Amino acid sequence: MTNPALSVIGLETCFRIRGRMVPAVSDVDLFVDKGEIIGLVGESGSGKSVTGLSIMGLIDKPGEITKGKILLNGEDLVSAGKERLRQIRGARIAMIFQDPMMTLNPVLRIDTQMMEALSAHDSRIDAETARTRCRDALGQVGIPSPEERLKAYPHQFSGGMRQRVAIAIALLNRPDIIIADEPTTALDVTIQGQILSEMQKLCRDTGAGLVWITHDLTVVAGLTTRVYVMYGGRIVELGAVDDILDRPIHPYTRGLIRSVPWHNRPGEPLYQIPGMTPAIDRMPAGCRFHPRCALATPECRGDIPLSAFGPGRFARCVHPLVEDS
Amino acid sequence: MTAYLLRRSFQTVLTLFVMSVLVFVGVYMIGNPVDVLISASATPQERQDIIRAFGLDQPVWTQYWTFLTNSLAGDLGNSFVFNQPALKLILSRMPATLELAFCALVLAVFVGIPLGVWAGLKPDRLTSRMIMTFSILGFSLPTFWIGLMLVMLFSVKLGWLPASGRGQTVELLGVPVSFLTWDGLAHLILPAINLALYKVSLVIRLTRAGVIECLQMEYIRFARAKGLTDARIVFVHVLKNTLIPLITVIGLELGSVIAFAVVTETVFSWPGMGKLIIDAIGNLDRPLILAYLMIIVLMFSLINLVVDILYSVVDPRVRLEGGSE
Ligand SMILES: Nc1ncnc2c1ncn2[C@@H]1O[C@H](COP(=O)(O)OP(=O)(O)O)[C@@H](O)[C@H]1O
Ligand SMILES: [Mg+2]
Repeated sequence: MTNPALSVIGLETCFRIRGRMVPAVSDVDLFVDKGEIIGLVGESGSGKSVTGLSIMGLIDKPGEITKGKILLNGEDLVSAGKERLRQIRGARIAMIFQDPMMTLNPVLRIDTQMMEALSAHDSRIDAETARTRCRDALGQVGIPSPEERLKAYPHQFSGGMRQRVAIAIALLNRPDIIIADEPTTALDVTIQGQILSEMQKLCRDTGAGLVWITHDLTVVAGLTTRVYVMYGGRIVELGAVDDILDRPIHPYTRGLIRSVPWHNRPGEPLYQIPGMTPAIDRMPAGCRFHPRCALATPECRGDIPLSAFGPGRFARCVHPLVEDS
Repeated sequence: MTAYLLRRSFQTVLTLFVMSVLVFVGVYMIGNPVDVLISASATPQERQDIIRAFGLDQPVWTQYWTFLTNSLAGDLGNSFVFNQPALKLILSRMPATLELAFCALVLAVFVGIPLGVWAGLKPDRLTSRMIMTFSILGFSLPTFWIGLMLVMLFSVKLGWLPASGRGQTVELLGVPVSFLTWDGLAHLILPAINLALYKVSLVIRLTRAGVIECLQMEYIRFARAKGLTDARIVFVHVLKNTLIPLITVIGLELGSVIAFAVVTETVFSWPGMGKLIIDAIGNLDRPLILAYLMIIVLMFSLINLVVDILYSVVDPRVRLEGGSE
């Protein structure tokens, strides 16, 4: 097997809460092959964004990556220097954020914001080449009359178009990995669908690996190959997407699936997992989901490792919903 | 644009009108200028002559009507005290005040913005704390007290800088200025610092707040995700967003620096408009008070207009209402 483009090994990221360093994510292992699309799914507050930002090296002090490795094509980013990280960011790994209304600087023109992404990684690039590449990138993400749009300001674009601009910027340097942190959550459903299928195509064309972060399982169904389910800052289940949707192992995953509207019969109220994701300094011992779980027993308070349930299929649960094969 | 300018001009005229009515009524109620102007030993005949000469025997609305018709013809009346055209008196004192005010504002900008940016970027550093302490002092210590301390230290104790007057002036485009001669500059330094201190503090605080707010914006995170250097992020992304709102404040402060230079001018015997108006108020010299206030109102309106236009030029999101493409 070839080395994955990105692998995260035993990641732990802490934040300072009332003077104490508290892990927001811990024990996170994941990998993305070249050109592969994976899903990172979980309720709000489960640690998806922190994982994405850790990979980007964008955790601000007093937050810190306290354990683990992040290997990009074999190079460890956790131990890399500040300048090296900057060179990698935006060139080898790019990130797109949730709110398209906020990701572009309101007072700078689109061409400024695009061309600086090129010159940051290639100081010798001439303006003409840079411009052409920016124009092509805008065309690639489906923005009409890109030449004129280059001169526009962000407020002259709709939300969907702004997210396309952000995607175009992320793609400019042909990164190996793109981390998309709920980029369609703030958009309406039709535009969501368009952007999703375009992203899929763009990743296929450019060979970039994609980490698609979402709280919405419907989104990952048609898009990704494998899915990581996150809860309380840990990966609680992973596997091929169809497998997870058809036969969830962790009761939390089943709860997520059930709370998606498509499983709902007309007239029946939408299912909701009872309770809420705990704050990072209030995490229960053992399985972090057990206080909200119908199947919980005293055993759930012990240490529960991620165990195998078939090839590429893992879950962190002592009451798995399917039998070990 | 023309419609916009017309509307603004109309507003200014309306303001001038309302202000002049208020001042007329106000001065009328405070007291009779004749009591201040005429020595106690004057005969009743002399008294009557002067009252008639000033038109003070007329009912107040007749006096106002005379003022209004004359001022429309550009004549704001003669000063009761100096018996010279009030407008000419004020204009002859204006360059001194303007020079002082501009120097103070330039100081506020070139000292306040860099300090504010630093304090915003590194809020936890000792230097930042010192800057903030300085700004609190600048805010809370009374201007006249600081002025006196400056005189005590630099003029009386150390003998480095002169304590009063404008020093040697030269004509620049027909206007006498101090800052082009060494002697004039030496005279200018202390009053300019004195007048600037409050504004420096204000600019530091506003800049710092703006920088801190801007750093938390999603577009800064996106800029970092693009791999931009820290220098580019600070000097292009942060600075532009912070300075745009500052333009309004600094512009409006120019008006208030001019209007409230009174204290500094008094402490340093600076021969500007401020000193003139203080004396005029003491003597109830109504034409002089009115002319001064009219000029101040005009100046504020003009500054406001320039600030608004400037703002619409630098901030792409702002378009002047009532304007056309
Ligand atoms: N800078 C921070 N300081 C303190 N706590 C944080 C910080 N960023 C995230 N957290 C906490 O980490 C947890 C995971 O957050 P996040 O990764 O944003 O969740 P999500 O899965 O919704 O993206 C949350 O409880 C959040 O409050
Ligand atoms: Mg998130």
